Amino acid sequence: MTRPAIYGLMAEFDSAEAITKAAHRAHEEGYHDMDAYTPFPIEEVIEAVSPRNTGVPFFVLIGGVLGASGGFFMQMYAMTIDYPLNIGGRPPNITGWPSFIPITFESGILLAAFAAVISLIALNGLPMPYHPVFNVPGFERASQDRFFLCIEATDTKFDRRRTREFLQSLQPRQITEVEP
Amino acid sequence: MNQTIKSPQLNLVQLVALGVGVVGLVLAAAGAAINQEQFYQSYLFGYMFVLAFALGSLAFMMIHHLSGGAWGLAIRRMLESATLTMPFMALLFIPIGLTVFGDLATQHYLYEWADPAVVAQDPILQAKQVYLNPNFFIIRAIIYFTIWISWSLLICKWSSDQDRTGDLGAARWMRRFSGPGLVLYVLTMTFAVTDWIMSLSPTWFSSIFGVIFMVGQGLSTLALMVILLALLAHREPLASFVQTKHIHDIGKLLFGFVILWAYVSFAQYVIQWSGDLAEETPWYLVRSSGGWQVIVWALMLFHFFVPFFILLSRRLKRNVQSLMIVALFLIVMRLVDLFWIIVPEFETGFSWLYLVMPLGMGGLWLALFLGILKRRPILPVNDPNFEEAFLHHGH
Repeated sequence: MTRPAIYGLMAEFDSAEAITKAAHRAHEEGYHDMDAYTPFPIEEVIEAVSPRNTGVPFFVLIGGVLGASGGFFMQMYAMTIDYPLNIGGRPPNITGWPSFIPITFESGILLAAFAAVISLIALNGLPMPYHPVFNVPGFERASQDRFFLCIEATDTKFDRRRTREFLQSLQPRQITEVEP
Repeated sequence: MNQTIKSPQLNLVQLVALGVGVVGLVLAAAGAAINQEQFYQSYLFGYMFVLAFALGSLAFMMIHHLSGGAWGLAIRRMLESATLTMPFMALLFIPIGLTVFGDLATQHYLYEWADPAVVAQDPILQAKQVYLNPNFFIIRAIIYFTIWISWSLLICKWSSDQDRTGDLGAARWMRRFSGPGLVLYVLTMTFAVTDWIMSLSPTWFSSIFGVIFMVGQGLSTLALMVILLALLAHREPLASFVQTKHIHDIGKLLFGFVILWAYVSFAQYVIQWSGDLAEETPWYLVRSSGGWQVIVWALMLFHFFVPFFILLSRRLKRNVQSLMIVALFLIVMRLVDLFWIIVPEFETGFSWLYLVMPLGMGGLWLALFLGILKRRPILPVNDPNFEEAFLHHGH
């Protein structure tokens, strides 16, 4: 296998059905490093081309746990150690925990949501001012009426000739070599 | 394609349920002869547990007609069959209704506001008599059941019409009735729970009480649906329709309702705890002392934390067999929650009837429900959305 000097091979399809089939075939063929570009999200295509575990849920859990415990102990510290204050008869000690729960809940949600957005952006490598797929002529139609499947050169199974033959067997409109 | 479901497992479950129901009935009759007071008290507890499945199904059925979704098409016939048991639930209400009249009222097994002697000594109850009086109590119950029964019968009738004729108008009628139906469900549930449960402690009040019961009904219903899918999803004609993502959707709903239950239950507590008012706190004081505090901790742990962390798993929510174990566990926890809400109000203490009633009534209900379910086509194949959900694998 020679190291190819291209980003990957891009196949262009006409319909959602065609790319769904193609994505499934590519997945069965054993390709992992690939991505689909479609005018609207197609759930089955996402399942076929994406890694099983995106990593986002893990960060959301960490964010939620940190937010909830941080919110709780912040109130605990403020209300029982730093400046014990009796508000309306609510005891300024551990037995006053029910009054800390709303904030605990909110701060848990807040940090979980932050973790979701930030990890989503970071794991996707955004912001990304340059991406090779835009070198494909007519790629702007990916947001209009064309469906693209790109098998990337980093895939261990990738071979310029054989991958092209495989993509050809899926009967796309055309296949383009993506400049890096 | 328009088939009923045939499953030997289902027949076995129905038979066992019927057996448990009949034995429960005999034991309940014996219990009534031994101790009438405990009979009525445990009867109310068992009744609220069983009613949850029928009413929760009514709510989910109407939500599905408004929201659509393939998950709802997969379970629609099960929801419909559960709502069709409503006349049976109305029949079972009769003993509860009887406790507000005559000798039973003066014994005040359930409702002390029904006893004229108690009311005569209590100015608060006298002021509340405009609402809390035996005749109006029965009239309101009749109104609730009329609404519940007519909505379930109408929607299920249109659903059957749709099966036979494929008429598109049926879907429109079901949708048209579901919107007002949901509003009526929330209103009647709030008032029904106020009448039947909140008025056990007639000076206590909480405006979120009805919501707590509605969420509990949703949870019970979803758990029942998961169990049915675990038993039936691999059989035709369900097998060629129900996919992992439908199971996943119902699993997600179950997860959501576990959180919602904790949310509304705690919301009521934190408001009354913060308020610290003499007319509100006794309800919680009774329920957090004298051994009841053990149940409080058990509810926090096993009705929320444990199922919450288990249901976080995506893989588990997509596996109907493991989801079924969580669902069975949650149904047990529903019993514990209702027990904790209702029973501390009574001074008679624990009795074996508290086990017999929900099991016996639940057994009879389950046998009836499965009988209805087996008689009707298991999938609404003529629903205008069915083909799309089936072909394009929608949610």
